[in-house]
Formats: sequence, structure tokens, C-alpha cells
Amino acid sequence: MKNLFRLILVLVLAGAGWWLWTFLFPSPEKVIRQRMVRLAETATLAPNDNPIVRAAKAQKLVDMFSPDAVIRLETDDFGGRSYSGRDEISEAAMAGFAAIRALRVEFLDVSVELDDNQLSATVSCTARVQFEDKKDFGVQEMLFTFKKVERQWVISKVETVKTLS
Amino acid sequence: MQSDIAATERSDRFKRFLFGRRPKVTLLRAAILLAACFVVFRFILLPVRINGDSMLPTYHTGQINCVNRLAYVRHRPQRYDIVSVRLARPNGISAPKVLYMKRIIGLPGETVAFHEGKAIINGNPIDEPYVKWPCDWSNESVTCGPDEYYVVGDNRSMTMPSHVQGRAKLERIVGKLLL
Repeated sequence: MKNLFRLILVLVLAGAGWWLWTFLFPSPEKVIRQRMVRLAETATLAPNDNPIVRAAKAQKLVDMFSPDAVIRLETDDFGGRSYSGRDEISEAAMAGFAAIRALRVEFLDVSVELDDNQLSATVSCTARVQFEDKKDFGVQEMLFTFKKVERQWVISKVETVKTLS
Repeated sequence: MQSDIAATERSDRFKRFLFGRRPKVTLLRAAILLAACFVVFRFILLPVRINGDSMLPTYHTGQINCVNRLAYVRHRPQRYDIVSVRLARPNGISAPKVLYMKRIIGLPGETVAFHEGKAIINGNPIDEPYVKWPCDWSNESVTCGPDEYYVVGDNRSMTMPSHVQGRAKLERIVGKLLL
């Protein structure tokens, strides 16, 4: 009985130690997934968000991109749009956040593929976007490229993917 | 004394009703059933909730259905099959959370076009009894590759730009709708 108790205690301590290790030193894949969740949260706007909150969110969104980031969007609803560099992205984010009353963004089916050098990664996901508290939502397949800059994972490229050609 | 015996007998009868004469076997059966349901509904028959108007009047928003992931294990998709097409592929073997639900009208190697609302396959119009509402679509023809299927919804009264349609690669077709 005593040995069983000791065994259980060792297993619990080992489990707690492993959890602490993964919490303090998460894998690059886990970090990137967390960045995607934070990106979706930052891009989500509530109807009662005041202009100061929106401006802060837009700035926080831009900080997740690298200085030379490129965004290429091609959707049936909004046509083709392209933004290059943080300045253009910032302008677009500020304008968009000021014009849209409410927006809900989720990234589903996120798949992370690290490159061999472990300094860049490709993330494929499905973006689900709901505008203005409407019940209907739009979906779009997306591809993100992350790169590690000064120990931080930032987005260097975003592009839409045509699921049906 | 007699009431205690009666109460014990009632309790025994209730336990037998719940767990049977052999509780361990009953629990084992329940565990097997639970595991089977988990495997079937997580990996084989995917429950889906339909959202959107592109498959009206065949399917409407809110309807529940199942996607049979094993439908194309032994044979390829056929014309008029209603299939689910995945967008991004999630990690591992879990099913995608978002799927397009569309009908196949063009098979690999075929040329597909719309002319004044009629679907034209290899130059010939096809019969589409499931299209109930008027359609005025017209577009240039596209040719499906060796592993591509042309998919489109049944609601052709939508404007063409707002109706998601096109060629889907076979590897993106997750399965066939069951109901």
C-alpha cells in the first residue's frame, strides 16, 4: 500500500513537472497557435468598443506583423487587395476598425508546419468571420507565414487560398 | 422487519433493472458502446449542421446531417453526389470543423460551363431536377483536371459571384452526405 502510494506520488510529481516544463518552455508550434488565437481576439470588435479601444487593438494587431509583412487577399466579396509593410497594414487596420461596427473572427482547423530551420513556419487555417452581429458568417481558407525575429514569432505573409478553383 | 425486507428487495430489483444480473458485463458493454459511438461519430460519420442558402431547397440552414467519410474508399465520387469539401486540413486525423456542402456536376476530364442558367457538360446540357428556381448564369467553360470535380450548390437563384462553386481536388472531398 505504501509502495503504491509512493508510485502514485512519483507519477503525479512527474506529471506536474512535465506540465511546468511545457508551460515555461512551450514548443514553437504551441507558441504559434497561441499567436493565432491572440490574432483572432485582437481582430474581433465588440459593438461597444470605443474609438480608443479600437485604435489600441489596431496597433496591437499591427505589432504582430513583421516590418516587411505582406498581406494578399482575394475574396469573392471584397475582390483583390494587397498591403505591404507595417505602415500600409496599420492604415488599413485603423480605417477598417473605425468603419466596422462589430466583427467576430475565429481561426479554425489550424495546422502548423515548422520549417527545418525552426525559424519559420507555415500555418494553414480556415478564417470564420461574422460581421455586425449578423447570424450569417463567411469562411475563407488562409495561409500565414510566421518567422522568428529576435525570439518572437511574427507574421511575415498572409494570403487567401482558393479552395474551389 | 418485513418493511426492511421489502425495501431491500425493491432496491435489489432496481439495481438489477439498471445493471442487469451481471453488473460487470453490463458496464463492459456500455464502455464498448461508448467507445464505438466515439469512433463512429468522430472519424466515420461526421455530424454536420448546415449553414447557408447555397443548397436550397435541398438543404436549408439549421438542418442536421451526417457525412460518410468512408463513402469513397472503394469507388470514386459520382455525378450528382452531394459531397463535403474541406477548406484547411487540421493536424492529425481529426475532422475539419468547416466544410463546403456542394453537389458534383462535373467529373474529372470534363468541361463545365453555364449558359443561360443551364449546366453544360462537354457541350451538352445535363438534366438537373433538383434545381427548382430560375437561373440566369452564364460563364466561360472550365476543364476539370484528372483528380478534380466541379461542385456547385442547388440554389441557382443566387447571383453567380455570391455562390461559391468550382473545381475541388479529390483529396479535399471528405465524404458524401448520408441523408
